[in-house]
Amino acid sequence: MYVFVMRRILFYIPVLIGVSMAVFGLARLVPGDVVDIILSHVQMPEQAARLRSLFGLDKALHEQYFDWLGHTLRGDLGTSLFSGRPVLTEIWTALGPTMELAFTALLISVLVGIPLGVLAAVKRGSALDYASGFVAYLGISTPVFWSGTILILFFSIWLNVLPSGGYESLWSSPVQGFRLLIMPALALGLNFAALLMRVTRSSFLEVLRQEYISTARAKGLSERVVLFKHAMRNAMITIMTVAGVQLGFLIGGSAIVEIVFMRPGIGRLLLTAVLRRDYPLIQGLTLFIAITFMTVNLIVDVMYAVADPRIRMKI
Amino acid sequence: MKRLLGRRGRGSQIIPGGFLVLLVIFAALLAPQISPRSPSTIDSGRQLESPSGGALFGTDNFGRDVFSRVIHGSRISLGIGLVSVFVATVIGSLLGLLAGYYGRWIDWGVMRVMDVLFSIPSILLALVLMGILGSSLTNLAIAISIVYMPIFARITRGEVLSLSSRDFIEASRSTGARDLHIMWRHLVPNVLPLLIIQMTINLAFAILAEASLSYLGLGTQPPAPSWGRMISEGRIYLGEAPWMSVFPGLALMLTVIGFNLLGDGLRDRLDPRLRE
Repeated sequence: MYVFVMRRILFYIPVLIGVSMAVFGLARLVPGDVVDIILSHVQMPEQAARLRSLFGLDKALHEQYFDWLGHTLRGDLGTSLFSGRPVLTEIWTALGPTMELAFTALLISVLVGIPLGVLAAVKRGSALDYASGFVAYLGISTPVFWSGTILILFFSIWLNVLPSGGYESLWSSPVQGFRLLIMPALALGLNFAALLMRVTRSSFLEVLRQEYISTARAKGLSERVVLFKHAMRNAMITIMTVAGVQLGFLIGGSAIVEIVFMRPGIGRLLLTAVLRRDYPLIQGLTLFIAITFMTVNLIVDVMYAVADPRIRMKI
Repeated sequence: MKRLLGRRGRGSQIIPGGFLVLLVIFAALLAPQISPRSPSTIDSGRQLESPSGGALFGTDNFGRDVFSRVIHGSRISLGIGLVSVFVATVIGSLLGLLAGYYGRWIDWGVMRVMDVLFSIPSILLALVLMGILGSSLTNLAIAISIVYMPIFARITRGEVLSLSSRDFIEASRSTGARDLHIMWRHLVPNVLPLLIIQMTINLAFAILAEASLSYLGLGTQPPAPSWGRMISEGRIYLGEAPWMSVFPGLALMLTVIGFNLLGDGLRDRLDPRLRE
């Protein structure tokens, strides 16, 4: 197991180096540099030259890369060109609201998607199966920014029961924080639930076809034990893999949901950074998102190996 | 009804999916003929009118006809979707072909670049790319193509790897066929069905990506009638004129459902790996 985890980590190292080069290259791809952005509208060649040497922009490209990498490895991601605050502080502040949203959405999608998927697989061909299949198509095809808008229309404008946007921390004001979290988490969670439901249904159907299930039934085990003890364990492997691959969907989706509901968070921070061309912040965020996403994938890989011992042997 | 929604009769989703897709193509091709008004005509006397016989989907804050804008929006969605998926397919599968066929360092290099692209959630990668490239229709297509390229590279590479070890490729090689000949005559035709399925499914994603970026204000610029942008423009008027956001969203959803159904149906019918 230990060897397996180490091998997976080693696999991600070249990718991580690639990501760091890409992120470094980001700011160099655009015409002009940071100094041009700071000193836009003014002509100050002397100051510009001084700033360039201050930022190390007059060095060779590979020197700049290693300088940047060195700072990054020490946790220094630079400062935002607009707020003047360290990039890491900006990310840290935005992380809380995004985590609240992503975890609640994940919880909703697991609670809705997996049981519905199991039900659809067990009652295969029934009206319930078709109905849930249809709803899943709707769920997958509806962009979160539109379902979010429709939720606002119903619950904030017509029924006037929930606030249409904003953010309060769940820790400092639980009630209002929760009221503000419901709609964004639903918009995102139901979207992901549709995906989980489809995966659960197909992997359950796959598992139920296998011989050991017939054996379990023939032994006289109750249907509940067969489904939730025997079938679930194997079906979960596929569900976890697919869900893991699609987690990016959840991370990306939360960014859009944040904009719809005017919540602070990683996605909103990235959008503002992009709109303002705040390169240190864009670089820091991209690196952060890539590392988070890779870590999540690594965890999924490991969980996958825990659930299915055969995987550990193969790789 | 069961047949229409059914997922068991293999590939029966092709019918409703194909119907929706044809409807959108029809709307895009005949947009000027179908729309009662021009999508950009501003009429200050008819602002925020609710849907009626005069304006089927109502009018927006500039008095523009929402129905005409939704119809014209199909051109942007389909246009950007098709162009970007086509570019992603051509470049991605070419890279995958080279990686799978030649192996060694080409394979390693190409696939690591693809891994890097894969390591950032697609919509966020597109967002960052738009930030670098700047907002325009061409850049929108470029950004979306880059985001979806790795999928095609991976699929093609995997297929090429498994085909390369098969007898007919060995046979062709032993008769002295050139690499280019083997790739073009033997590998490409075998990978094509898979690519077509993947293109259809990814069209749904590309259309969603275009709409999302336009919603965020990074894609198409006003007054272009992009569905994503229309939904975001309607956000402020949601209380007084919900039709401004509701109808473009419905059009977007139906289009995406259409491509999803069609893609899944094609996969069930054509994917050799699913053939029993």
